[in-house]
Amino acid sequence: MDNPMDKKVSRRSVLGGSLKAAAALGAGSALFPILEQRATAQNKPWSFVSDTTSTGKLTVAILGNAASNTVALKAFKAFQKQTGIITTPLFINVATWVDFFEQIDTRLIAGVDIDTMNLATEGFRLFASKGVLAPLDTYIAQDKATIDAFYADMNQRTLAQFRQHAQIDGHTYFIPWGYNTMGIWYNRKTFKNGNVSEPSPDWTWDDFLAAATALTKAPNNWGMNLTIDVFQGIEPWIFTNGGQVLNSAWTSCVIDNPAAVEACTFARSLVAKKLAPSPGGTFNQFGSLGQGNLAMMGAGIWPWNYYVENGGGSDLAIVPWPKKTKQGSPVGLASFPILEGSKSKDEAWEFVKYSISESFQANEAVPIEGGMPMRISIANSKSFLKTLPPGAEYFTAALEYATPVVGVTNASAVEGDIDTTWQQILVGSISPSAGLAQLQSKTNGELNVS
Amino acid sequence: MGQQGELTLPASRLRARQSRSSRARARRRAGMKAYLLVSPALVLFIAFIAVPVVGIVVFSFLQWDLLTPPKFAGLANFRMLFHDGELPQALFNSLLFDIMTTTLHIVIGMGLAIAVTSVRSRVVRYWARTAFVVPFLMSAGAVAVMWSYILSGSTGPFNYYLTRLGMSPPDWLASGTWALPSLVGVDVWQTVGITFIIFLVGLQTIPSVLYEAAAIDGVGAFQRFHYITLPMLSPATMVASITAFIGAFEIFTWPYVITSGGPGNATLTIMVYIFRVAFRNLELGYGAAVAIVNLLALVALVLFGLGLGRRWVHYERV
Repeated sequence: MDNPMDKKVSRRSVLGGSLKAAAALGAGSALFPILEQRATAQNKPWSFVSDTTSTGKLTVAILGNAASNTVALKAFKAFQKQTGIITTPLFINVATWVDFFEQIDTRLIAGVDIDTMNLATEGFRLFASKGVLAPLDTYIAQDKATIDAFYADMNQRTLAQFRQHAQIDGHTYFIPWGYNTMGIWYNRKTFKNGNVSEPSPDWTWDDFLAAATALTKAPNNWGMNLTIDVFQGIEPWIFTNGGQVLNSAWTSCVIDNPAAVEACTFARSLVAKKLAPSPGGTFNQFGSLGQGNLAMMGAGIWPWNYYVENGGGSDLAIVPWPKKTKQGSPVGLASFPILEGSKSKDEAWEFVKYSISESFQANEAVPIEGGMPMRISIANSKSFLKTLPPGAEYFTAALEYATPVVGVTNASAVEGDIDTTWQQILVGSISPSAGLAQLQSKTNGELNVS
Repeated sequence: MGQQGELTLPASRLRARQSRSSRARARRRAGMKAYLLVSPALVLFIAFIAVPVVGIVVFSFLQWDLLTPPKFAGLANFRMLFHDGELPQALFNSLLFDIMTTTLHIVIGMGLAIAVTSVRSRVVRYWARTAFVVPFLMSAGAVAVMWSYILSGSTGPFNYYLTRLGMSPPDWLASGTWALPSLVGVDVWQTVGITFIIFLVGLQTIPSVLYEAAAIDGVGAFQRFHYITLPMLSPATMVASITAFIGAFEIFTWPYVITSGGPGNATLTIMVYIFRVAFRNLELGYGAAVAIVNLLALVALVLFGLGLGRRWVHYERV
């Protein structure tokens, strides 16, 4: 019998064997999900399904920053004390929802256990369509009285929009705990020092332009800052000019319309006239507004946490977005959906109920994730509003005319493309008409494959 | 019979046969030892290069959003390459970035190396060698954040001082014209130290006798550089060019962290595009197809560079 150790090992055989091993491993890595799919019952997505529903523990992922993380920890401790559920936060400190979605995707793929996460409208369909989220219908039926009472306390127009866009294939995956609409934050002291009267709630683009022009003093004092983002950037201008981004059913992109072109042309003129800094770099708009180096910026309620943490918010106030043809604003909702792969679905549902409780809505909605409370009774209450800057009530008033922010199935791609085009228009590397025409064509292609 | 045959072998043949057998065993042992020695590298190669490459090829035939099971897509991803409006721009930006970066690496790296070599003070030479390499040791993420701040148009110190000098600088990172060159500057600042070291070593291999002979012949500084330094540094130039070229073509950190590929797509490089397609748009299959295009483009460009190198690289030694 031959001794295998005596066999001659050629270079060719070693390299050949290595390549075969690599091929086998590569093929294996590709086959793995396919095999997983075959092994998974009822065509449910691979590796995200769990039959276990209770462990006594909970992991909550939230988009945060240093300030909100501290508040979130306190809130989680309060929840833990109240329910006995050991709650672990997973802070994802990024700037935009698109970045947050990327981070969540990669963590899920890597097998990180997440039971629930704060998810904005932009990601509702993205994650629900991938089978990553668990339907809440059974839980809602269990706690029908609680949920009905909560829905009754919501703005009914917003509730109808939510039902139209966030209920997928007849299932409910989300219970919205908070919302944001857009307004203009301004520094009252800057206006006073510049002898410019403070904006009124029904001000127009012309009033805005006059104020921005008067308050810009090169090179360090800017009238306005424009943000590269769908919600904060392009949509408020388009909506206040009567334009649209998507059709009402979210099946096609209609952004190449005269109202949108006019809105983008106006925004571009702010950069061209140097009334707003060119987007890019590290312009700290919150800090600049507080210090009086920036007169105005667009945002929802979320900057308030920055000023609570760092100071500088005492001179600030909020007004609705200026209008050209009508009042307009995007509206985005936030919720804590339960992940299909969670082994702690029961605990996650407790957290969902906690997020719509009066205590959370009054005390933690703004500090944790910078969202206005969904309960109108709280959002309009004097005791709540006195904790916020003057004019915060306009955010709730905007629900009566706001349009839901883009939240399609492939939201990351669509939102990323809109951001790219918006930036190209603002810096002048493409004309608004050409940019929006190109964007509409591309987005429609993406909506068709979604 | 065999036993009988063996018993009948003459002693000299038996010794020769044993000797041949032991030599073969020794060769085999040496061979095994060699393969054993290369096995750690081989395992790493298989795990981190061969398997991912094979994986990418397999993924390029799939339609997969990472969150739901993959579907076989045939050549659909490769067909998409021909209808992708952003891919040519990403390739063009990468190539432009690459050409600018490699050129600056060679010019600045060689210039610094010659300057440092010609300095007589040991202290200055030591300080300069350390100073030029230190940026390379810094975390790329930290460097990106630092330069984002420095180059910020409205609040950055760079523009502040240029304005104080009476200039009207552009908004470096927000300008479609200046954003890519700005990133080239950041890249050169951080990585030119490596090119500098390559040239420094190259300069030390040039025999001093050549310069002595040139001095006797009364050759000027420029001619010494043109006829001695430059040709004798050509192997180092080749290594530095290829290293800088490959590194620059795969650039990701600066355009991702500093400009996010913007403004618009002005700094969208091929690596950022692959990441965007695969992890933002969740089209892993198409991302893999783009990665294969990138690999083929890079291999072709490097082979072209090596081919050109045969014409001008001098390996002669005195």
